[in-house]
Amino acid sequence: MGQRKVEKISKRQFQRMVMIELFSMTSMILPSLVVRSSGKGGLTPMLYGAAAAILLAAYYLWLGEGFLESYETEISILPGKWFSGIYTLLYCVRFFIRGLFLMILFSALIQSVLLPKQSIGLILFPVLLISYYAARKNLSVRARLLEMLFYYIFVPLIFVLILALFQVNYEMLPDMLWGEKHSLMENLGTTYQIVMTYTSMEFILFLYPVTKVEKKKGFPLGKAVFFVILLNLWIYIATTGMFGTVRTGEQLWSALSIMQNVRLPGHFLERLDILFLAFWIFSVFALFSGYLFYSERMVRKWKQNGRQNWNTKGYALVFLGGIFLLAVCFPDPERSVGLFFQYMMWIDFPLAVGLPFLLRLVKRKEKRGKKVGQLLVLLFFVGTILSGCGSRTDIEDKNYVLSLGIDAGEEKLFEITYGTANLNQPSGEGEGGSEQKGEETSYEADSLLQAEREDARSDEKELDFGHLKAILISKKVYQKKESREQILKELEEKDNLSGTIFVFLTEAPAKDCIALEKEMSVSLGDYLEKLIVNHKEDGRKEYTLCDLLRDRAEGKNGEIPLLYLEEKRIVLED
Amino acid sequence: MDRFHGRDQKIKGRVSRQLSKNIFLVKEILKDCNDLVEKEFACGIDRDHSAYLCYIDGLAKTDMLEESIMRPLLHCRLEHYEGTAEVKGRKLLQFVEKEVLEMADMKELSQLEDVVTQILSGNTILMFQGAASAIMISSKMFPTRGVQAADQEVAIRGPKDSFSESLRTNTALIRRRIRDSRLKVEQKTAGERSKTDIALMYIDDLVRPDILYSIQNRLSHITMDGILDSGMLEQLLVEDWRTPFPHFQHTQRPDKTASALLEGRIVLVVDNSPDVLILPVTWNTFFQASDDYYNRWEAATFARILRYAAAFLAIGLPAFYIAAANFHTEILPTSLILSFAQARNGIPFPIVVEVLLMELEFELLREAGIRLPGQLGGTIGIVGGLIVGQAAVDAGIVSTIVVIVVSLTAIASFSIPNETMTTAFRLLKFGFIAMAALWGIYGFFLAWLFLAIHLSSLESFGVPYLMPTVSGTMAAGKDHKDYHFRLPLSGMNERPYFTKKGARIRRKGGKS
Repeated sequence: MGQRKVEKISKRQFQRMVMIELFSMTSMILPSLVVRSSGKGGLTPMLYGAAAAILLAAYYLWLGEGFLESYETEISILPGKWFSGIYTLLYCVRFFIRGLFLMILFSALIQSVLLPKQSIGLILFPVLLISYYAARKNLSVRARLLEMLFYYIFVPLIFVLILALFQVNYEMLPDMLWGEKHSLMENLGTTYQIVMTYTSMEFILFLYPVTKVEKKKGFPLGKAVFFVILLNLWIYIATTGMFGTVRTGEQLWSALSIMQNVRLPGHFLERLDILFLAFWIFSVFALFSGYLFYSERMVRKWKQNGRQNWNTKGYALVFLGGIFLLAVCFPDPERSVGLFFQYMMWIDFPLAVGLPFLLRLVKRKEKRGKKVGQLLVLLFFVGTILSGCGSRTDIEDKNYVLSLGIDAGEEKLFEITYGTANLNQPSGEGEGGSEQKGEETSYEADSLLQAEREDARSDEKELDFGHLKAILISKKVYQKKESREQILKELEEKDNLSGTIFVFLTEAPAKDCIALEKEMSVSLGDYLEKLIVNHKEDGRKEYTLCDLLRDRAEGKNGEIPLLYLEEKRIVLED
Repeated sequence: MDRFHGRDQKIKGRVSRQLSKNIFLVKEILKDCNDLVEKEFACGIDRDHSAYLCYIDGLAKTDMLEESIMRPLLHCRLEHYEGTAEVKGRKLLQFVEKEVLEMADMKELSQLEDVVTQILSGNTILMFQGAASAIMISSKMFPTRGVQAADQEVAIRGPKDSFSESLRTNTALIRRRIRDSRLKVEQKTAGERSKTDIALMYIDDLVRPDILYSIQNRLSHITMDGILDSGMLEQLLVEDWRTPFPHFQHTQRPDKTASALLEGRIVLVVDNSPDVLILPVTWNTFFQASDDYYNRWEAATFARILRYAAAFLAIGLPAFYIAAANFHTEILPTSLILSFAQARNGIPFPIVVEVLLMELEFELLREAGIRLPGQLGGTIGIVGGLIVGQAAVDAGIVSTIVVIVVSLTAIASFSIPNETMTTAFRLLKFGFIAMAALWGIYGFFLAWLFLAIHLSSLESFGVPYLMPTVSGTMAAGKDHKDYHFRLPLSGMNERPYFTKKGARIRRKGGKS
């Protein structure tokens, strides 16, 4: 008791930490980055990038072997207090900028997918608080945490990637991977961008001297790097195969987009992607908390060496507070990405490679506020609860849209029909057991958004598109280019729509098709879903929103199934 | 503090050669203690030696005192020894101890503190004129309720006996199961006023010396006026109080205790407590039940997996329901969510309030059930479950779904075989509910993340709390044989990580 514990991490912990920290950064943006740079033909630079990542790993391994102490200790004992101070400051600023970028993207994504009505500040607050809590622990605790999170991050991801293989369009895949030839210089340019995303590999400098492996430390590192490279290749192939290069380039979060668009076997859970997304939160947290954790350790060491008497809690609070304020004030992810890439290319990556090298050269030549914090948290919670900021709506206060019909309007551009579930019908009374017979509501509007606003004015219940099964677009609307483009653009921008929703064209007005729901034993959405899924063997091909948006992006005309009305029955075209 | 006690709460002074002085001191120190029985008498056949005997009524075996102490003392021949007063006194005591008293367990005491402590512990004190020491004769006979069946840790298969309030009975129950000379029992006293006996038990060649040293050290530094139960000792020995998770395993089952000792763990038996403490612990140990090892491995494994699933439900089910119903209805199948929505029609409260109402009602029922006398215990179940629960649904205060969620959470919490761990889960559940109510599934998973960080930071006497999920390589991955899965006993050849290095082989060659 009372003795300072020696920080040691096992080989397995080292390996898993590298895997998570490396994967979190690369998987987020790699496919999008490659496609933006190389278009149809990104596989070659992906392979070059993999080779470069291996070289980078070898470089850091070589650097790590040259340091007897942990990296932060080596920096803190540099000759000259100011020299080590500048070094520490550079790392703190670098990690702050990376953390800021990560949190801007993270909060924007959580807002668009999970909590559309909540403010960025409110979304960021809990994750920053937990990061602070995690940063107060020692390296052994961080190693244990990441060792455990390994399963929660990679098992769901690999499950999703396996399912994604069934959704890949194999006919167009070769074209997406090798379709365009690029010069060596162009490929090298993309390779540089790829290897840039692997910079979180520099964390191994902090881990290297405390890992309990006497020899062959390169082996666990090699395994970790290979694992991440393979996973990234898999994600790249799945993304381009599912979405095509144009949509992949537009999507920042490739792994996440896959999760949102895979169809899950069975119907136990409707949209498992929400759960998978939550597991992905762990991965982002692991990386973000790493920035705070390692930079705080550097500051602590520097402070200890300089015998200064201030608490590093202050540093952590400034780090997190700064990120909070900047992310709330500048929540534009698209602009942030542009700026961040420029920063990574010209400043961050050269520093990530150069700073440890410089340190190695130098070595060779030589041969608090707890109660205030508690009060703030308390005030936050009280404020949150009193202000009623929770964006929740109780389940009975929603209109569950099961089918969406889009027809041409008389006075306005469209007539939008929502086929919703009837909650007033006692459960179990329908012929189909607990299946619900629905109601339909139509609005004339110039856009989907306008129709939703109309509904909000006339119905006390909120529309919920989380259970939307089918979108029916009238042939008239689809054939008119202007209307079609507007509808597709709006559908693409609606982040809360699953990519697995079936899309149909209708010869008769979509409204009439939805009205027929009253004659059915189940809801129209369920009927159409079963019509497609149960007759797959007859050669009927399902066509989803994901397919529709991909074909639009690639400039192709997809084969959207056509529905007819025949004596009050909905019939699928042969 | 009075004139007899020092700053350290101990009685000052030594036993005097003058018997009258000793009698005066005992009488004064134990003044107004009407259960003190004293006898001044002249012993020896010639009645030529003054003696004094005292004990506490009800704590000592009076029959034994009559037969083995008083009768021999009155009928023996005591000599008048030559030499200095010191020599005379010592020789008299030695003669009485060896030749007169018909007892095996006795001890000479020279400090008044020890004399008074032994009287209050149920032993008998005998003093003679001229002797500077007193003889302590073991005569303890505490009122106990005997060895009864374990009521908290019921097992279908396996022994049924449980610990009682008597330390000696408890150590005997353990020794009965491990007849090994290497099973050590170190007896200590803690509590300045209660002077509670604590037995530290371990198997000498299996225990990890660093852990043993650590607990010995902590025990020697306890300062508290009274330790009335092992629960108090647990709180005084705990490493990190900022956690709801237990750092000691408490059990009332001797077989579970013996099993822990055979794994190289340490056991603390506290007098007056029917629960013993086992250390070190990991998260995993709280999911192990005694009958896991008496049943076939397939059944035991199934039960284990069920318990781990129950833990997730006990902590997170109400929160997940709130997150799914309030924020992310798309997670659940359409027909299910529509059924939930229909059930909620007409409920005046938001889902969060509804869940909290039912959870609090259940917590009240649970508390009332514990406090009510045994005969009325069943009544509370009927009142709470049938009348309040059903009436609340009929009155439209809560929906049937919430009743199902809360009941399932309660059932899940009862499936975990450790009450302290269950309590931790019950507390965490409310934190999870708050997170899910504010941030939906995002908050729900952040709460799990927070829990994961917290659990990763916990250690029990240097052993990571989450072992072998984390740091499993420290035990070469062998601890997984008795984790989520309980492999056949024939495959469990090694003891877990708690055991001293070099003593982990339990079965040589894996052959029976």
